[in-house]
Amino acid sequence: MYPAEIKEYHKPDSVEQVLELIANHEEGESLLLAGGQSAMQAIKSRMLRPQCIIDLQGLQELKTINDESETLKIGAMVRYCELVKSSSLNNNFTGLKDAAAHVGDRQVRNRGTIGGSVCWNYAAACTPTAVLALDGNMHLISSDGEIKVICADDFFLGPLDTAKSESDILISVSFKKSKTRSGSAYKKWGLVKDALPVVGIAAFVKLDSNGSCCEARIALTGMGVGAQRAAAGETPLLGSYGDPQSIEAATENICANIDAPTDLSATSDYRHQLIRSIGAEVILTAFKRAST
Amino acid sequence: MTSAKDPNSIEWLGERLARKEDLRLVTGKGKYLADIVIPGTLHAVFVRSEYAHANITGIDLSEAESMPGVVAIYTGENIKDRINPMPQAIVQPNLPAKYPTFWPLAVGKVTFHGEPVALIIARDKYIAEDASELVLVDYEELPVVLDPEKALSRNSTVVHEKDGTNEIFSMTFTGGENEEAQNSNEAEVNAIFESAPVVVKERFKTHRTGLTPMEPRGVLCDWNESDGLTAYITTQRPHIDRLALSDILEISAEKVRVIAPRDQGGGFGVKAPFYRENIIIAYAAKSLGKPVRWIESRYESLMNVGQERDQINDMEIAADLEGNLLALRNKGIADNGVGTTGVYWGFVMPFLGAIELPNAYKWPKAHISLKVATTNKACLTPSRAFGHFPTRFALERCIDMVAHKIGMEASELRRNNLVDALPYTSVTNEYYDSGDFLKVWDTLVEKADISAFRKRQSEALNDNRYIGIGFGCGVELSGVASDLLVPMENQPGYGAATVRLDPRGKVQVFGGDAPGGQGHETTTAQVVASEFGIDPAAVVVTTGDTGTTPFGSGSIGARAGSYFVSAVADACRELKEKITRILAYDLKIEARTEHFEFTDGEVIYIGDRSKKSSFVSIVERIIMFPINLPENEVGGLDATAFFEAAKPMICFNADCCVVEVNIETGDFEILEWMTTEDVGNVINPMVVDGQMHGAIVQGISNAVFEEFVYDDQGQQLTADFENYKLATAADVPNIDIHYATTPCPHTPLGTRGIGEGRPSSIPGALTNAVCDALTPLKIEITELPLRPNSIWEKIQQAKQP
Repeated sequence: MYPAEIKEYHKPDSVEQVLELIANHEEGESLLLAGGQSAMQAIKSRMLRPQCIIDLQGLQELKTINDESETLKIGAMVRYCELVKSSSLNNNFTGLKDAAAHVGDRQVRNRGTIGGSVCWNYAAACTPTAVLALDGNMHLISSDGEIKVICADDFFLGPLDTAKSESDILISVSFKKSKTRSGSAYKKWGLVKDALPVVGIAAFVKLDSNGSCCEARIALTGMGVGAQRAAAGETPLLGSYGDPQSIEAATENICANIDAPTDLSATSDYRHQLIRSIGAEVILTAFKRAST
Repeated sequence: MTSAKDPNSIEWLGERLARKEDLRLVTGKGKYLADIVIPGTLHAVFVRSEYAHANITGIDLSEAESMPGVVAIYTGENIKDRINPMPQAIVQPNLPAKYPTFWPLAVGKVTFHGEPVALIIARDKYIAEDASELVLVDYEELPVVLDPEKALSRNSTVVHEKDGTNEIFSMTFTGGENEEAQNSNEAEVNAIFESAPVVVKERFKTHRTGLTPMEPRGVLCDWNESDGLTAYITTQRPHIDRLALSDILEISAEKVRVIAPRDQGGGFGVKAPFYRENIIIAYAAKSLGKPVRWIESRYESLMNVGQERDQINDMEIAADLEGNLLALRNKGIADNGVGTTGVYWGFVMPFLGAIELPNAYKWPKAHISLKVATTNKACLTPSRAFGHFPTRFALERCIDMVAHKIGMEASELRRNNLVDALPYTSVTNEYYDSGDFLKVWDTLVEKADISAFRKRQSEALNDNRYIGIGFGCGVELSGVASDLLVPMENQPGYGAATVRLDPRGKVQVFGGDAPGGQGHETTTAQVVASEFGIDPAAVVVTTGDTGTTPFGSGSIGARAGSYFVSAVADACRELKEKITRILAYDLKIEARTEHFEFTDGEVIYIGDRSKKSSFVSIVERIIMFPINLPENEVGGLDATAFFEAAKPMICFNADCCVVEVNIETGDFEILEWMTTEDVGNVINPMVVDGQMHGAIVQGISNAVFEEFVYDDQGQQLTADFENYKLATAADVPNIDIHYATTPCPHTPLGTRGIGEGRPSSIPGALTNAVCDALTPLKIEITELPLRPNSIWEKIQQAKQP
């Protein structure tokens, strides 16, 4: 597994320099490298053949988590292990913490980044799923200086496909802080503990002052299309208190509306069963977290 | 540096000495094949078949050849008249089989996805890979043979045309040598089945899985006219590789030296065959007069090697209502893959698997037969638990099913039928030399406490929790005696070691086997230290270099604790004889070796402990000052010993595990894993524990997670670790090991070879536990892998009204 020829390697230390480098290369020539936990494998297997690698690991400005009054802003180069440790992610954003803690093995979590993961949007990946359920916003800057904010629903287009264009760099992922009680959770199932998710589910619920659900977002991965909303599961939760009947209605609705593939990891029917089982656990956890 | 020792211990045997090799291995200082650098080395990349079965109608090399930095390109066509084809006697068993003819690169057609078609040699690895993409091979697809049963039918496409059949090997293992005796035995077995009160008949399937050494294969060959060929190979059997390279490339044997690197990232059987890649790399180095190196990628490794276990067993057991086993009938059908691998050819594993099928049980009668089918898949590769992972899964599962039918505890049924007097010869004529199976079994069952477990199980069930207990056991080879290894692999089984003392009292040991992490350096040092009464730190061990070591058939079949250390001990004892003869002469006493004690760096006359010498002085005197010696003595202290036990030897183990099955998803968790082991006298308990941990983890990983999958065109779909899933530490339970040993009477130290066969009792014990947990649903699982998905499906079926 040796890569095709790579003619240039750059390790800029500012976003400005990155944009300049992108602008100086033809489309398809350059590749932004974040933690490299997926991209390097793709390069070594020659699935990707970049002529120029722009290594983002020198960008200190993208490595911070800003806990602002109304939003939580996570720099694109924040690593999974830092997400797992960050107290800023407690309460509302625990679902993202769950997801970051579930990615790969310890070595991957020490190097992989939130930005790399959302921009790669692998067919089965934990972080994009949590970002989608938590309604994250991707902040991008284009090489021509344009600043774009794309919400998760519009950002994740399909496996290995996002709304980020090649001339964009992702700066941060932000989340609005909920004014009322809210909670989130994520869980995956894989054959081995460090496997990619065969099924991964993230849930976010917001409760009104009576403790009844006024907003719900559920996202799913493992169905062959990357992170996807499971809106069918959200409706039964609205107005509920996280009771078993509503949760079961939610997971059954998801199963009825989602085509689950059969592949080497699981049959379609078994994926549906995992959606029922893990889905119920995740939704209940989100409710519990919102109520405490 | 001296070694830490329990101050109360009088010798080194049985000490938990930290492994001598570990410091360098865990600090990244190990020297593996890829760390060996010869200036000017060229790099090799194989172009491998994209099809499972296809004629090669043309290969266009023009673009690849014109790439700057490409030195040579070989194809089957341009080497077939220059390299002798396989098979060659040195790597061909003495078993009647239809051995396919093949060259290192495909000639005429390809027979599996991943077969080498061309070899690029270039200035560096990058150029070689770039050029390999430019080789254009035209294929004409042929029908693929993938199902072993269909492969054996008369109208099947044939993989190797010259044979006219896909049946590479078949055999009946019971009843005697000739067909008549076998048939009359079968008739007797059939009669028992007809009148037996209890009969269980099932088809058991084990999937294609095996072992995956952390370091894949590699070869580095260097040629010069005066010394000939030096081949560094990741291998378990350098001495066999040397002879094979000599025969195939017609290089006179004194001009071939094979060196297995001191550090190898695991072997597990995968590095025991003689592979075609070795031949062509050696040929390229010789032809080009330059060092040539090939390092296998993970992708190539998963596509080509480490695949075993792929077998169907149609098994029947007859028993009476008291739980006495009356007869066993088994017809095995093994999927051999293409069979183009030296030494084993695929079928040798199922062959031994059939011999080992009866396990530790007394079978009054049995009929056991096997057919092995060639298919368009990678050739089976030996993988720890050589051959008997499938048969043992079937047997251990089937025994539980008999117990269920009778309404008896499966552990009790097992105990009733264990071989209780050794030595014993099995129905397949396998000799069990010594041990105490009942002691091992009873130790385990006492720990497991079944009546307490049954109480716990029914309480759990009241809470809708499904827990279960499962048992299994295994008779395993302790080394492979020449009696078995000569017919099976055309190689000797004896162990060989050279022990060399130097004038400073330090010791070098040379062994011809080539370990891959088992701890030979440490256990050997403990044996030597114990024999001479010196510190293990004073002992260094060299293995794997045919230029310096005595002949050995390789690191296979648990040979270290059985044959190798026995040869080491015998060589030490030969030197002790000489040392004490000369010391007695110097001390002017009449005494023989047994009158001296070698301890704490001294050689002491037991009759008068003031009469003694330091070990270093007497050794230096014999090597450096060989004057005033007894009559007929000469100086020097260097001995080579060969060890062969009079009879084949075994070790024995038993497993018990407790699982909890999630009734909603079929997912399960292993709550407890207990084992008891008879490994004979233990040299280093930590090393033995490590062998057991590794083997049990591999058994679990094979049974549950790992599976090589081919699609219906024979495309290999699992050639990466995203799809071929290995258990990690997070996926396996703590393992609680107990020893219930009986010293082996046939080895000088009472030790047994251990670890090789150990994974084989795992899938049965684990699946038995899952089925036990699901007793209320009467679920009997007969196929591996044991996946939550398939367990869930069985639960759904069982719930159907």
